[in-house]
Order: sequence, then structure tokens, then C-alpha cells
Amino acid sequence: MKSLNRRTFLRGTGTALALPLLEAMAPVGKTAFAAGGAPARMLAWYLPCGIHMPAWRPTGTGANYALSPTLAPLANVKDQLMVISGLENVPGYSMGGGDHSSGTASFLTAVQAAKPGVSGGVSIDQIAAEQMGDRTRIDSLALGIEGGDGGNCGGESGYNGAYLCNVSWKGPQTRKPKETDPSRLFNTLTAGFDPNAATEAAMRRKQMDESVLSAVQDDAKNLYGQLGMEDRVRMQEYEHSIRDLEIRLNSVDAGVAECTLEQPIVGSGREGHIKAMCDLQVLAFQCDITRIQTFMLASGGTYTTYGFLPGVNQGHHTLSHTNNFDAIKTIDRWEMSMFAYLLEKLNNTKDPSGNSLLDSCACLLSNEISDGNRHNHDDLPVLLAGSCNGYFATGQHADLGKARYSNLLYSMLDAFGAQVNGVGDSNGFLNAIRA
Amino acid sequence: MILLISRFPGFAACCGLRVLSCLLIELTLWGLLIMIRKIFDSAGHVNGRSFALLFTLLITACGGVDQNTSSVASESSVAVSSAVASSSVVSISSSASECADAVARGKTLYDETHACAFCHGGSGEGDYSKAIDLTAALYRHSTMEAGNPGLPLHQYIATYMPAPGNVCTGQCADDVAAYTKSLAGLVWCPSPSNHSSSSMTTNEAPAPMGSLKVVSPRMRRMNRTEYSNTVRDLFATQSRPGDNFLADVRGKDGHYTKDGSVQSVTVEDADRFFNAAERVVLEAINKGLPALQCNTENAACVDSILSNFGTQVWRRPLTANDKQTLLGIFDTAQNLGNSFDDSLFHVLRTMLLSPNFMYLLEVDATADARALNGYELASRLSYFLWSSTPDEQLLQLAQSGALLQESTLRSQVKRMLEDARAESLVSEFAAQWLQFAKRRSTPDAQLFANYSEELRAAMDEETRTFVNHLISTNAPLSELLTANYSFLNGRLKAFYQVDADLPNSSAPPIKVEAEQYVMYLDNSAGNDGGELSADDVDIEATADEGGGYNVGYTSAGEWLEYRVNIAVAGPYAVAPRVASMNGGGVINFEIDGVLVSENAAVASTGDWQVWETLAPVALGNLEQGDHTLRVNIVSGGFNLNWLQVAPGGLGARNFERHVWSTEPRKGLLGHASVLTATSNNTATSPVVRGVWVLETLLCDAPPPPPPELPIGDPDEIADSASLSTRQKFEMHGQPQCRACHRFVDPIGFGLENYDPIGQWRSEEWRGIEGNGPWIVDATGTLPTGESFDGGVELSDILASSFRLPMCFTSHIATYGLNRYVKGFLPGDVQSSDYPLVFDIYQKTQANGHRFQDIIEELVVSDAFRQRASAAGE
Repeated sequence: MKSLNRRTFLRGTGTALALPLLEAMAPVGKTAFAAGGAPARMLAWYLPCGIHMPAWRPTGTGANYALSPTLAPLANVKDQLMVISGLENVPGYSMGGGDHSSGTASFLTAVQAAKPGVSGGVSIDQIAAEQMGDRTRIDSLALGIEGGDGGNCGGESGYNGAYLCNVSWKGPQTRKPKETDPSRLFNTLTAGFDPNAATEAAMRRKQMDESVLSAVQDDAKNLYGQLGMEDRVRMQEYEHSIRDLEIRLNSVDAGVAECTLEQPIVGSGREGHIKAMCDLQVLAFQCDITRIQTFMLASGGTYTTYGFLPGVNQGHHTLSHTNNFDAIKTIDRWEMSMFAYLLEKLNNTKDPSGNSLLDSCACLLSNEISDGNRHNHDDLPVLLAGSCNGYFATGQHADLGKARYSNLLYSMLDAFGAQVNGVGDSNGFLNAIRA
Repeated sequence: MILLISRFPGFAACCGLRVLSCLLIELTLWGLLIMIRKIFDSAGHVNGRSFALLFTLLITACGGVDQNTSSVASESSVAVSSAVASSSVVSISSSASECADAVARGKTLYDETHACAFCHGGSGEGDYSKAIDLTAALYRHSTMEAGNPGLPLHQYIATYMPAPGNVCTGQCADDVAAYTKSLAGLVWCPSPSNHSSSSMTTNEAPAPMGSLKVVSPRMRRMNRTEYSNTVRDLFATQSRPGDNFLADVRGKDGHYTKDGSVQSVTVEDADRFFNAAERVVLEAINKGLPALQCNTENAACVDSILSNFGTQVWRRPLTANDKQTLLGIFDTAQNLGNSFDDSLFHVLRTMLLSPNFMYLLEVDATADARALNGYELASRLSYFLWSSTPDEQLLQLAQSGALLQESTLRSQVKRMLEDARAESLVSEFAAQWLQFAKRRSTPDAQLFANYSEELRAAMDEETRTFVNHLISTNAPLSELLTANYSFLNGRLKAFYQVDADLPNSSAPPIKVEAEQYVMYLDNSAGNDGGELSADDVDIEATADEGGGYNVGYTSAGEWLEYRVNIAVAGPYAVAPRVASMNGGGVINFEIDGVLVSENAAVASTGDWQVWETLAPVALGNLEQGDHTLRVNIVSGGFNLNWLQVAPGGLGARNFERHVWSTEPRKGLLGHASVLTATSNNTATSPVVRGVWVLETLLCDAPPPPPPELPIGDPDEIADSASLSTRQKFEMHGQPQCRACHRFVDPIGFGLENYDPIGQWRSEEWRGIEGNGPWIVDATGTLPTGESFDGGVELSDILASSFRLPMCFTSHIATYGLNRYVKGFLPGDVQSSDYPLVFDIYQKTQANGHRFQDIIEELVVSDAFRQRASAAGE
């Protein structure tokens, strides 16, 4: 009542925000669904600190496999799930130590990150966003739970702290900022719809915003000639960011209400936080606000103590270097229960064209390393949920022996519909897991 | 005291003119390696690690070539192509027979005298459980990492081998190096006239081998703090809008967020800049900032604002073109029917969003090397010492050109360091250098019941106050480690047990949830938050750690009362947990109907659900029994989640100088902040503490442990419950661990008298199970021979090292020059930054390397006052 905060206002009045959908939502001049077929979606879930693999590996291969103890929470979506064994992410290996960082940096890039400084690859979600992100109002979302907005999660063995808290990279040096706050995320999802957008005052303000932003872009351009090459690239990046902001402000409209977006209630503790972020991931797909998302369940090499789990009283990273396998397995299994929460919800929610969100999605889950103590990047724990509209052969345990993780990333882009010549060190599609 | 130049293996960075030859060698070696790897892979003998080790050895060979000028040694690989051999910089100073003699002598030393073969094998093949394979490599880590400290093999042997015990330096090390290299198929000839160990045994910084080269930093944007400080000083706002910006990335150095070379910007950033500019300008216009006042509200007045205030905003006078653009915005706004104030608003927010404001520009019309102009120098200076914009005096001196004179510059440094804004050297520089406010994980609540957010805040503030004192009094750098005093508030006096007048020091903190009030006054009818309660108090679910509820929608005049039971009489303080979008809140406290506290301000935390614990507010002495604690909301606009009532005699804000007398503490290594920041949540880690000292204070970071060690972390040793922390870490006695850990662990052992939160202990009890006790043994001997018993003696030894001032100077230069100054690591002796650091080291030596002296010498250096030519970048 005395607060100007929009979020509490929304909650206080108990209203949900009605959002326009599909064509109505696409930026001016864009069509929502381009050439044919149901929309494809992409989601990548990142887990840190490795997995206790003996408890992860399913028994049997092919369709008649049995979920392992760690994977048991995923039983309800087993048909939509594929467990992939035998993948190795060679670019994940560090240069002289720091495998949490190098593994995280290459999680969606399959490019070995440099140190010191920041220089890695471009992640598949951002490749997809660059090519096809204009089909939705928000091209992509980079989400997480900790590490703030991803500036720094603590350096490791000479690697910059930015690597540990980001998996989404727009450019080799440019992280896609990560959102960890459910309230701010909700605001982001609902931004761009202003019932008063058509009023005269709003129009006048919009005109001034354009003048201001265009003058700022001119300032940047005028500086180009006086800057060295590297600085000029940075100045261009600034100019482009201001230009993107101009586009964003221009796309604000009054909209037509077709999809109702309700702010999730944030439950208590870590689990409440994660579930709220899961709910918003589902909503973002459901209302077709974006089709590309990444999510970090924790930051690379996290020291977070999951004290609410039985027998867990040390930080996750500290534990991963002990032989307290019971505690590690407890964490692993809990992580799967969080993923199951998301997948079941995606499975039970239809998109505007009536398909299950899960079926339309290529949902990847993996870790920056395999074994928490050994820091190896082969034998990675990998799950792929959703067939991405029939592209992948889900409902099986695919044991590939030894194959490139990057080929999976490459295949995900193909399933999504993006055109690239490869990802990182990939040398082809992972045809073995195609439907 | 003697501390070696470097204790850790690695390779010298191929740099400068040598890059080409090194690169060629490396490339060819890569090809060779791939071939070798294939052979080994097929034989199944060499895993990925050995492969990397092999690579290291060959790279080290490159480093060896690189070191020719210093070691007068030479080598070439017999296995590489002739094209590469001819391109390498080889100066053979010994005859072939001398080489052969060295190898022969080395063989005897290796096989017999020092029994190297015992661990490394008769043919250098190594034994995985004992020592590495010399025919493959030296060490996986610190390879490939340009800029890592590096030692050629002979110096490595002189420094580290044989482990443990024995020494083999001088000609011994050279001969063994010649022999072991021959095992790997390399020919290397030691120089008889200049043995490797000779420069390693002094406690003086080694002289530079290269000459200073001015390097321009990358163009950079203001970071969050700088933005907030800048608009604070320009627009008199306390709103700290930079706090809403996306987190800054740490620079290449790994510490400071001022390095343009790692900055990126996205639309998400631009969105926040846009909003910040709008809010700052709106506030300034609404409150009638004097600099924005006009007698006649017209374009001419805007023009004069741009001439005067505009110069401060862009830190330089505006050009005619600049003005034309901005006046164009004014005209557009006027033509659309905006009021004068609204039109001025658009002009000013354009200025704040412009790269001319957001970036600290040093633009070059030409590509030549040049001195900075006065305005550029003023900005470098103010963002270095104040993390903020130049004030009017600096801008005047910039305009007149006086700032370009060294004497003026020196006097300005002195003036600026006396200004309150110089506190940023603590909050921005020292905090990031020392990382004392970091926590690996929160200390276990069961084991350390007296640890709380309030205690943590006090610990950090102790260190901040201490460092601020050292800088502002221009203390010698060594005092950082040797000060026999610190700054304590009431809570810390109890914690350190230095004050007998806190009878309640052992009382656990009492957490009072905001929604558990017993009485209230609320201005608005109904529960605006809609949660939990049916009365008028406004309660909502909280996103704070631990969840639950918070009281929100606070407004002036409201109050809440709580029942607090005090078990042990004594002085207490209360720390409120708050969140506020806009700040501006004020609270105070009553006990049993009597106002007992000062007003405490609630600043913006960035958002309504971004929580911070305020510094504790003293409540005075409380008797045993029930008390009514009332929170008066003097000014609202914040949310309240909980209150923590804890012992706190002096009041948390009052830090008094306390001279350690009987307490066995000295300097920074006695600070609970540092000791907690370097511990795990249930136990100390001598390794983490040792590494912290080496890396942070001495710039002598060890490489990370190799992966796939035959034994794991000592914490995982099965019967660890029967061993003390020290005994567990003494497992590092195995040769392959000991190579590095003998430099790391003793330092950590010396601090074992301080428990995981920095409290004194003479016995160790560990874990929830209460293992122990073990009598703490804090004695140790550094590999260089100095023995100590406990942290106090250790601190004296460390403080005498030349590494401390060299390391500090590298750090402050990195911070001040906005780029990674690789001025100190041993491989850097040849770097173009080393002469700068060494020069400052020498100039400040007579006076004991004092804080302000070092800062002043840096500011008057060419590196600070000049830009390189574009070609030199």
C-alpha cells in the first residue's frame, strides 16, 4: 500500500497479469511461427560438483533399462527421458588445474576457456537465440539460483570467476547475464506489456526515449575513430546494447490478453527458491515468451551446504572431495528430484498449439565434471528429456561407449532448427540417439 | 631471514621478443607430442596426465631457452627439427665435453649421492606412488599458463629437490638437471661460471632484467561502486543506483573489478544504466540541485549548465558538437510540449547514458605515445584514490595544467588521502586484495553457536578499520603483519576474550522473528501483506534465507514490540534484518519503555526482497529476565524479517584501538575475519591458510594439486577421526605431495592455535562427534630454515620478506593502473612491469615501504601518467 514495488503490488492485489500470445506477442514485423511445424524449445540444466557415477548408471541399455537409485525420482517421465552414457567433453579439461571452471565454461560451448581474463566460446542457447530468438518477445533466458547475476563466483586456479557462474555466453567474452531472483524474473517476463502504452503522455515519452537513445548511439559512433581496435569493439558492444534497448522499448504495447501469467509463490529455503524458478521456466515456455532457457542449479564448484538433506553437513564441493558417498548420493538424488519436478510440470502443460511442453523440448541435464574428486570430463552424467517434436529417441538408455559431448550439443541445435557447421570440437551429429 | 625468490615450479612465460622462437618450438613440440602420445596410448602406458607432464617438460625446455640471459645455460632438443633448432635462441657457452662431464657428474649425484633414483627410478621413469616420471615431465600444473611463476629445471632442483631434507644447489643442481634432461632426450649444458642458486638466497628483490614499457589499460566502464560514488558526488544522492547493476567481473589479475579487458555489456546492462540515469536525474531536478538552477528557463541557461556542471559530469569541458547534440535534445523535448524541467531532464539523462560519462575515456586523436592530459590524469587519480569523480579542485588543476607537475601531483595525493572518500582504498582495494570478507561456507551452526551474521560483520569491520588505520597513518607495510594492536567493538572484545566486563559473552544470540510481535501500531487498516495474520500488521512471505515471513509496508510512526528473555545479564546489541528498494528508513529501539538506542538508517538494499543485516545497535545493559523490545519506525519504506539480540558492550559501531597484551595475536594473521575466511565450516585447513598467505601476501601461489592423486584430500582418509588436523595434513609427507606442501603446510600449522572462526585454542576438538582433544602443535620450520612457534612468531618472519612490499606494490599498481600488472612473480623479473614495481620498492625502502609512500610513487610514475602508442599495445 505504501510501497511502489510493482511485484508486491501484483501480489497484494492478488491479480495475475494477462499476457498476449503468439502472433500478437511477436515483435512488429516478425511472425511467431516461421516455416512449418510445432515450435521447438531448448532447455539446459547445469549441475555442479560431479555425480557419484556408480549410483547414477542405469542397468541395461535400450528401452528395457532400469533407472538407477539416483535416477529413481524421474520414474514418472521415464518414457520422455533418455539417459546417455559415454560422452566426453574434451574442451572441458583445464589448462593446468581449475576443472570446475573449464568444465562450466565449456558446458554449452565445447570450447576450452582461456586464463587469465575471460575468453571462451559461444553457447548453443545463444547461437539459437541469435538465429531464432526473434520469434519470441524474449530471445532467451539465462537462469540460476546463486552467484547473483553472474559477475563472479570466485576464481579457481587462475580462471576468472565469471566462468563458474555462467553457462550462457553471447560471445567469447560476453556472458548472458543470469537471473537468480524469482521476483525480478517475473517482472522480466511481464515487462513490455503496458495497458497505458497508447496514451498521449506515453507516446511523447517514447519519442523522447528514442531521441535520447539515438543521441547516445551517435556519441558512441563518434568515438570509434579515436579508439584502438580492441576498444572500438567494446564501444560497438555498448552501442549495440543501447540499440537493443531501443528495440525493446519500442516493442512495448498494450497487447491482447490470451495467456495468464501468475506469479508463483516462493516457498521457503533452497528448495522453494528452485521450485519457483522451475515454475517460471514452465510459464515462460507456456506463454511462449521465450523458447530458449538455461538454468544453473548452483554455481560451479559450489560450497553451498544442503543442510536440509539428511546426513549433509558440509559444502557440496568440500563433500565431493571426501569419501562420504552417502551424502553425495543424497545430494545427487535430490538434484534429480528437482529436475523431475520441472519435467513433470512440463509434461503436464500444453503449449498454445496443444502439445506437451516436454515433447516440444530438448531438455539437457549434465554436470561440469563426472566424478567430483577426479574432475574427469569423460563418462559424463547426461540426461536428455523431451524428444524435441520427435527428433530424439527418448525412453531409452543410450550407451555410446565413447562419443563427443559436443556432438550432442550440435544435435540439439539441429533439433531446434538452428543452422551451424558444428559446436566446439564436434565432428557430426549424434545420430545414434535420433528417433 | 631468507625467503626464496620462488618456491614453485613452472615455466617462464615466453614473452616479448622471444615469443616467436618459443612459439615455433612449442608448435613443433606439439606435433612431436601428439606423435609420442599416440605411441604411448597404443602401448597403454601413459595416461592423459603423463601426457600433460611430458608437454610440461618440453615447455620447460622452452622456458630454459628463454632464461639464457640469466642463467647462461643453453639447451636444445635433439628430437626437434633442424628448422626449429636454428630458430631458437641458443648461446652455447660450454663445449660438448663439458656437457658430457656435467651429465656424468649428474648421474653419480642422481644414482648415489642424493639417491634421486630411489623415487624417480634408475632411468628416471618415476614411480607413481613416489615421484614423477622424469622422462615425461616435471609437473602438469603451471604449464601452458602464461605468466605463471616459472623456474628452469636447475633452479627448480636447487629450490625443491631432493625432497625431503637434503639440499642440492649450485653445481649439484646444474649437473643433476643436465643428467635428468638427458634422460628425456634433451641436451643441456650448465654454465660453470654462474650457478643457478646464486641469486636465490638473498632477502632483496632481484633487479629488473628488462626495461619499463608503458602499457595503456583497455578502455573501461565505471564499475558499480564507481557509478554510485560518482552520482553521489555529482548529484548529492545517497541512492547508490550502481547496486542495481549487474555484477562486475574481476579483472585478469583475479581481484579488481576495474579491468576493461574483461568487461562486456549487454542489453540487460543497458537497461539498468537507462533506469539509473532516469532516477538520478529525476531526483536531482525534483530536489532542486543548485547546479541545475536557472534564472531564466531557456536554452541559454541549459547551455550554461552544460558549460559548468557539464564539465564535472563528463570530467572534461564539452565541445561545441557535444553541446549541439544535447541542446538538440532540449529543443526536441520543448517542441513536443515538455516543460523546462522535463526537457532538462532529458538532456541530463542523455549525458548520463552517454559513453562519455559511462566510460573513463582516454581517447587518442593520434596513435602516438603521450602524456595524459590534465583531465585524464585527474580521472585516473580520483578513480584510483576515491573510486569517484574528480572534484572541482582537481578539475581546476587539470584546466590550468598544474596537475601535470610532479609537485602538484604529490600534494594532491596527500590531500586526497586525507579525504573521507579515500576509504574506498579499503572497501574497494584492500577488501578485494585480502578477500577477508569472503566465506568458503558458513561455519557450522552446531559447532560454533556464537558465530552469527553480527559477529561476521564485526570481524570484517575490524579488518577494514585496521587497514584504514594503516593507510591513513602511512604505516610501514610490515605493520600489516606485526601490529600489536587491532580495533575491536564490544562483540569482538567478548569474542577474543580480552574484556572481562562482558559477563554475558558466552550468551547465544537471540533471534526474534518480525512477525512474532506481541504489540503493535500500524497505520493502515488490514494486513497489506495478506499473510499469516488477521490484524493490521502487514506481513508477507519472505524470499530471505530460511524463508518464513517478514513485516512490510512500514511507515513512519508505526512500532512493533517483542518479548525478549535475557538469560545472562550484560550489555547487548540488536541487529535488524532488513530489505528496502529505495532506502530512507530510520529505526530506533526501546527497552521496557525507555529509548536506549541511537537512530539507525536503513539504506537501499537494491530491492524489496534483497536482505541485509544492519550493524548491531547497542541496547546497553540488560538484566536477566523478560524485557520488552520495541522497534520504532521513525521513517518507513523498508521490510523487516528478524532482529538478533546478542552480547555487544561497546555497541557495534564503536571500534576501539586495543593493544594485544597477553593475547597471542599479532597483525592480520590474528584477525578472526582472515582466519574464518580460510577455514572450512567444521575444521581448519592448514592448506587453505598456507596458500592464502603465500598467494595473497607474498604473491607466491603454489600450483593446484594434480588431479587423480593416489591419495585424496586428507579429509577423506578413513581413520581421520583419530588424527588431529595437523596429523592429517602431515600425510602430505609423500614426495609427490611434499614438493609443494612443504612450503604451504608449515604456515598453516603455525596458525593451528586459531580455530575455524579464529578463536584461540590450545586443544583441538573437531567435528560434531567431538573428536579429540589433541594438544595443538603450532611449531614449524619453513623450507628456508626459519623456525617458529605459533602465529605471532610466524608473522614476524613473513613480515621481513621482501616479497610483502613487492607483492603489495604489484597489487596496488594493478588496481591503480586498471590492468594486470605482472610485476612480481618470479618469471616476471624480465617483464616490462617489473621495473616499475622494483623502482617503487627501492624508492620506498629507506622509510620501510610505507602505504602512502608506495601510492604516491606509483602516481608520479610514468606508468601512471602516460599512455603508450597504439602500435605498442
